[in-house]
Amino acid sequence: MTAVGATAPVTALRRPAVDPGQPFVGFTFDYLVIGGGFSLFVLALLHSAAMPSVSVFLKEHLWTFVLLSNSAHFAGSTVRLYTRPGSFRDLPFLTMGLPLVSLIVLGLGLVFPGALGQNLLSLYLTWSPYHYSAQAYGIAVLYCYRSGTPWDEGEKRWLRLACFAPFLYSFLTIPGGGLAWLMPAAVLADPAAAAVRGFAASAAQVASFAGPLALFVRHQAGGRARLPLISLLAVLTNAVWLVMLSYQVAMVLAVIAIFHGLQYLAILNIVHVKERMKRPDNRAPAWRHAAGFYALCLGLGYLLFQVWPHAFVLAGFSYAESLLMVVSVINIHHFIVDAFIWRLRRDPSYAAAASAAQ
Amino acid sequence: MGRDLLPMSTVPPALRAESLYRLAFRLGLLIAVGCLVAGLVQVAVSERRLPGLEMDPLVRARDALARGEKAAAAREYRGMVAVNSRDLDLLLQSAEGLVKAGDVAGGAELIGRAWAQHPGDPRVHTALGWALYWTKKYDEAASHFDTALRADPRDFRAHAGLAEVRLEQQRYPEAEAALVRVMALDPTNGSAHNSLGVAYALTGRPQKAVEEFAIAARLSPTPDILANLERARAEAARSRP
Repeated sequence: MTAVGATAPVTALRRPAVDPGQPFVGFTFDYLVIGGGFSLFVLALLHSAAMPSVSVFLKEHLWTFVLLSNSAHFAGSTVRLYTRPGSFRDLPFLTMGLPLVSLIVLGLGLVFPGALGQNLLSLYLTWSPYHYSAQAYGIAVLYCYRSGTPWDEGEKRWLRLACFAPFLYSFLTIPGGGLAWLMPAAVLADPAAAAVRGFAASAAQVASFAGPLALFVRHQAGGRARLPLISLLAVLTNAVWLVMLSYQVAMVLAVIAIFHGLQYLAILNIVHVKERMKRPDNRAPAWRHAAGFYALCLGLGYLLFQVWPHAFVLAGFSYAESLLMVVSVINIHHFIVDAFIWRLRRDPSYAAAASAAQ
Repeated sequence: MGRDLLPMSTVPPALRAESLYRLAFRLGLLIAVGCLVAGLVQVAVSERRLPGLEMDPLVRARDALARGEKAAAAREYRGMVAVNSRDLDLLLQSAEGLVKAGDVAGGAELIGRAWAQHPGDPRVHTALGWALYWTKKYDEAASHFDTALRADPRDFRAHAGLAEVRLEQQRYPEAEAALVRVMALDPTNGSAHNSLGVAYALTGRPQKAVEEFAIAARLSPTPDILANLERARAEAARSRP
């Protein structure tokens, strides 16, 4: 019997009506950064145009914020992969083979932009909303574990479906990716096909919000393991990111990417620090581990996104081609690495992060 | 049983795979480090600085246009289209850029391609309007901007285009009204702030012009915008009692 199970009758009497979730750092930080609450506030401000000076400030410093958050988060998965104990032994292809494969694909994409380059870009655009939804699902489940509320496979399937409805919407509507990439334009232009696509997109749009809310209410009322409020917030925030704000508007896209990166970096850093603090030979305080890890991510992020594209300019390619191909390949590499380093329950560091004990 | 007997020199498959992985890793690391050094050298030699913070694929094209290097700008726009012709907005931006860089035929071809892929899309009218504007066909440009705005009144690029046409035609109040609408829809549009500054400067309001040029310079500090800011500051200083 688990500790939660042993005290269940008492906690059942005392538990609040809504489970806010067990925060990692504190409620304010977790709700604003990991749950994505701050992003909703900023996006509402941008959307309302109530304070144009905020928009101007964001645009002026956009690439600095992107470097500090999003570029660092891409580098973060690589830094995590190579600093995780036993990675080379457990994941030889991922650690040693994939970098070379990525470089070869990048080179071929630049040499054959029509045949391969465009498709790499479309693959990245298609995969990206899936990755966002997977992150929302991971965060939601992580807080469920931390609350000590076990979800069975059937319940998790429903949660997964609710998390992936925004991806379905993006897949159906995203320009240059998803359905627009995989289906011939002539087929999509057919009025019947367009009507079906429009209906499916509307359904996915509604499901993106109604699904998580219905699941939350059902679990509140039905005597099942409850969905923590912060899990619901993370899932709904992802729905706002992918569904309510047209995904391709450059400024909004960059702001969403910044908050997605922040969310990821926060969790990654927590996992890293917890692991380092548990080492018997640890002498450093937690902040030093966190700062060191982030500095590594930031440095690698700068090299990958700001320096690397210029190498291909030296080789004779345009900056536009170089940047787009580098960004596509880094994204795809990140999605693959991420799928392995965050395997729920199978990863010991994930279990460390999921445990409620601080 | 005989199949299990291996000659002494044969390397077990697991070991072979590990050696290959290690070789691949070293090769990948070597290429990656080489690329990063090459990237640093490229910027250090050509621009005498470290790579700055930029992730807009068309930034080099715009910089080249601002410096008057039309061939370099056209090359960048063609590079963009080579890898990303599926995104309508970037395709149309590249088309406008090509026209601006002097490759009118190239730009027209891209707009034709966009029209074939998205017939009736108001964004294509906007791009065509801009292409006509850059070729100084102002009345035709205004007509396409109007068409785009009838279909989508929130198309800030069409409002901005119409404002540029009205500035060229010295119809300043109409230009100003269109630019105010652009600001309401997209307050981060640097070139619209610049144009509004021009409208204010040309109608004898240098202080307001300074404010707009200052915002434009924060958003896109190109040589022409910085020069406008300096001129407006001087004019504002002269006009003070």
